Amino acid sequence: MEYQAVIMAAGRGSRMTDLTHDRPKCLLPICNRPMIWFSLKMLENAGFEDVLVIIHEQFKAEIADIPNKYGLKIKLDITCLQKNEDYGTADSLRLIKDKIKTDILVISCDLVCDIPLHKVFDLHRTHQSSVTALFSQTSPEVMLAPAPGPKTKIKQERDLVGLDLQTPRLVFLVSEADLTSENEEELSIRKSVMKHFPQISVQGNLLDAHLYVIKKWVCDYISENRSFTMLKGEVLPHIVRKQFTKSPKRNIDKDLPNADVSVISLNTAKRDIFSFLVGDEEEERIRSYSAWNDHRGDLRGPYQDHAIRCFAYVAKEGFCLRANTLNNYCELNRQVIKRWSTMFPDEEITPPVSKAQVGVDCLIGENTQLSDKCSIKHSIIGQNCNIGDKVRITNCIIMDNVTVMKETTLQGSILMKNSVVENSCDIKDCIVGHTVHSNCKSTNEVLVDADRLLEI
Amino acid sequence: MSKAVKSGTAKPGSEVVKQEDVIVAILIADSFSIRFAPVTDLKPKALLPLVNRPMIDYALESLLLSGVQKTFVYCVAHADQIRLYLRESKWMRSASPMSIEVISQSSDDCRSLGDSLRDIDGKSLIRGDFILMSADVISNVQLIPILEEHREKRKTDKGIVMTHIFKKSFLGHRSRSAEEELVLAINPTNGRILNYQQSKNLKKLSFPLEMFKEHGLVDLRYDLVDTHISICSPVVLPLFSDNFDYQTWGDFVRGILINEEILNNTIYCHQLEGSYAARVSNISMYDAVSKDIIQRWTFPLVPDLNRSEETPRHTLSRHNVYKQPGVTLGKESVLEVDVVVGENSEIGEQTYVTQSVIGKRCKIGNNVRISNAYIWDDVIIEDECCIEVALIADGVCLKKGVELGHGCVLGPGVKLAPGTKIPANTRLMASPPKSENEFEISDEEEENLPAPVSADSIGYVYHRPIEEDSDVESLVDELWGLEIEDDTESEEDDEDEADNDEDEDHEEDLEVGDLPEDMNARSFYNEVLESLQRGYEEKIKGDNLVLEINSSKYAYNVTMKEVNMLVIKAMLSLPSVMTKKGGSGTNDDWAALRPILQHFLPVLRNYLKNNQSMLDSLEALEEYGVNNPKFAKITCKVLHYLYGEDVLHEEAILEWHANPPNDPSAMTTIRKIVEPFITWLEEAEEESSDESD
Repeated sequence: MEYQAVIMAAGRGSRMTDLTHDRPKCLLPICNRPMIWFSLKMLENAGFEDVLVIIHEQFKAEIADIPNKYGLKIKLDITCLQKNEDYGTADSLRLIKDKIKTDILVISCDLVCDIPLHKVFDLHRTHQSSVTALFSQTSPEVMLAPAPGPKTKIKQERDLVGLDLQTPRLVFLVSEADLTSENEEELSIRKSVMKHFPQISVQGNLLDAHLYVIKKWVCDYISENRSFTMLKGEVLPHIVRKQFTKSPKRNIDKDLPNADVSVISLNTAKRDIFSFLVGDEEEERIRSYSAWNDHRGDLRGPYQDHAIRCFAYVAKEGFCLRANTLNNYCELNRQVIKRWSTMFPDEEITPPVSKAQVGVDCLIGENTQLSDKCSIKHSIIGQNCNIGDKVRITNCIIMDNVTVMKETTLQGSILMKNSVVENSCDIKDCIVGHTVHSNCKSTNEVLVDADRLLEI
Repeated sequence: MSKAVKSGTAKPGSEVVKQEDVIVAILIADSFSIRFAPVTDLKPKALLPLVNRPMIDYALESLLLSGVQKTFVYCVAHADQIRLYLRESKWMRSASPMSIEVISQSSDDCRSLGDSLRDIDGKSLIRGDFILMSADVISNVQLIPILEEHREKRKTDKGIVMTHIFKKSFLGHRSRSAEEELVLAINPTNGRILNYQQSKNLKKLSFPLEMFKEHGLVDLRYDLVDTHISICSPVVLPLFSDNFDYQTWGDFVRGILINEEILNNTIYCHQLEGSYAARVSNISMYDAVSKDIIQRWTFPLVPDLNRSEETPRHTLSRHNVYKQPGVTLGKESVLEVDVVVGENSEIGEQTYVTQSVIGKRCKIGNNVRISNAYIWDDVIIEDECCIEVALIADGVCLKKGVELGHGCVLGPGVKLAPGTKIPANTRLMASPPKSENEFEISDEEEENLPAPVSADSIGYVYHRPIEEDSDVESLVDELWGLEIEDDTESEEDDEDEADNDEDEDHEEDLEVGDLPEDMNARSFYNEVLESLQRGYEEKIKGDNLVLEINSSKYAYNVTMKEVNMLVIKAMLSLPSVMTKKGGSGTNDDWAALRPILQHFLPVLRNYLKNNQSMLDSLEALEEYGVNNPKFAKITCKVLHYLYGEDVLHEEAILEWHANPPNDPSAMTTIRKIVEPFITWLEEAEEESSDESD
């Protein structure tokens, strides 16, 4: 086993507003399948036989049942967080440190992508990378897709990713938000970094897939350093920065004769990142014999003689999107159904048996009743729903057990589990979470129970 | 008159079009700098020989090879010499496919590239796109395709004003001029320049966030070198005229980028692939470019293909050894590698020459060693001289056994007596430096009146007039010929940052109480503490410690006030740092501190020279006392001791006491403790003043 896979599924989905009120993000349906199914499927396709999953305790049974329910062979090794514990991704990693035996692949449960993972692993393996991250090029239209609910200014979390043009080295990683919040409005790079990487390509429109391949020693480092809470926000930028720190290796050699003296101080002193670093001596030796170099133009050895190195795999094609915001969640539903047959050729969708007008890119769940005269376009309808006469549904996501009564028009909305929309409503770009009474007209609203609103 | 003009523009419309089709270049035959002084005092830089050919020849040759049809040569310094040279040369003959027009301007009116372009604009000579190049550029670039590319870009971007040519050359490459280090931000899809910075003296480079937001994809390039060749739209000239503050190309680019939104002007960059271009901007670059020519990177601009008829061709033999006719080589003399020897030069016996250029009619004696030297015409070098890394101008005479240090420059006509040894990086000229310039010589300078470097020599040390960036230049000079990559500094600040990083997260330092907040000052403090501790333990001399502290001061860029304060604080905390425990609050503290202060008296005297520095130190004393209550008890003793040793003057102490403390709590603690001492001082002063009365 070369790699272990970890799925971070204990996120609260705070940016999904009302959708995640009583359900965890990882169980929200995308094309009528729980979100986490996509991560599991991806790992299974990549050849993983088991996976470490971190979730909140109360949903353990439901999640543990997923492979069974959808015929996945992958085995889940579930670690639970208590109901009210809020763990960052690095904290979660610390929690399972005893289970980590090798390099790991960490993914977030909200990732849907069809980029072949072996390419990321190849990159990681070839360069003995400390951390390898997956980025994908996003089209701006996807990022700006409209979302239901109150209109808010779409604030995309963009990162500025600095990549070396000669090698796929990750030179720096900053989030735009960080720079803006510090009121700097500028990006500063040390000249010594430019000396190492004289050609940096700064890309502002890359999507960080939150998929990282992490060396075992980095995991050890993370578990030792309690100040880290998040992988993306803290650990990754830290490791990327550490690439440029000179390894104090030589000093250690020098100190060896006095080892007996320094044992105590070593134990008490904070261990720095380099003491965790486990180099492959064999590989180092091979490299010293080889004339191979990863870059041209200066006299430094391969990888600029950096012991810590981060790489980025930038996927030029393929689909990759995270359901981390409401917009992306909606967009993901639309995109995945479009690409279903190419992304999951072995998972057939049974076409709906109905006389209703069902357009392309629609998905109708099992046991859902469509009356003859309704029209459905670009929408996804869950199981056990009941759609009445002359209902027109466009661009909607309708979850399980929803009833839509006759002559209602739904457009660009999300109908949550068990919600009911009565006769002759006209609902546009809304999130519906309870019963909407007849003749209701709403646009860009959140229609949920009043007591819930109070809670929020 | 107006009629004539009208008809002139209206009727021969075809002629106007025709003129725009002519490919025009402006060659600026002045670098507006004194990098080559004193050699350029009498001769313009454009006419200095570069591998036995005047520099301007290379520039004109490359324009000609590119297919340029008309060149305006703009001269400022020594314009008459350039004019004379060009008139006599093949360039001005009617058979030449490229016509040349010389424009000259006095150096009072024209002190920069900006001035010259404004002048050209005033003469309205240019109507179409033109090539702008400096006469000290050596290139084999085909410019027409780039001109075409420029015109093509104009179809999509009306605001294009310039396509500037850059050459990729990685860090440490010899054709990177140490002076001109630049960082460009380029839009990789179309080559537009988004940001331009000269990074020479910067440690951090900052780029506006807006740029990344707007363009999504930005390449930051540190590996590009400015070739000083640009393709300009005609609008460049009026832009210079409109903005009198544009002096250099850099000013222009920055101006264009800043006003980008208003004027919608854009600058593009062209990266050379496989061609050569470099500018002889200083002596190090002169060295680099000469080697490139000898090693044929500049093909077809190489010595053996020299087209000028006046100078006979060089013949090329193995190991890049070029010889003109009439060269005589003595017995057992070796021209090892990369050597050029000019017409009728004589080289004596057992002489060794490598990687050097020797001009025409030179006489070189026996047993001479020459490496990495540029020797111009009519130079006489007698036996047993040793020359390494030097530039020797026309008519220099080195008598027997002269030794030149690394990086010497000898101006025309210098004569050195036998056995003279010249230290490294010296510049000599044949006449004593003029003293009747506008800067009146101060009394101090008069003492060392200029004298020749040795008896019977004609050679006076040339001192570069002090400029703002003089330290930068001297650095470049020192680097000439020494192949040292100064990389250590950057590694160090890597460490710093990383350390700071660590500190932020988990600093559990020894409790010193009042560490300065500023990172630099803090690192400085730690360093000083370390130096002092070592200094005390190993009994290092005060002067050496001062040197050490001063170098830390520059490394961390802390102010003098901070230095004064931190040095004092470091000294005071030394006993507790060394014993790893806080003060006991008893007289033992003083017993521990006293020998330390005594040891450091020279250091203190060095820093506390004037009233202000003493006030600083008193402030530090006070701050330290407030933060370390145990120490406060012995403040009085410290003060008394320092007063007694004449480190702190009475006036300073009284002034300090008269001013209210920064920290109000000091009033009750420190001030109270020192009260008796102050009263004693005041009484003493009254007494002394009484006595004097």
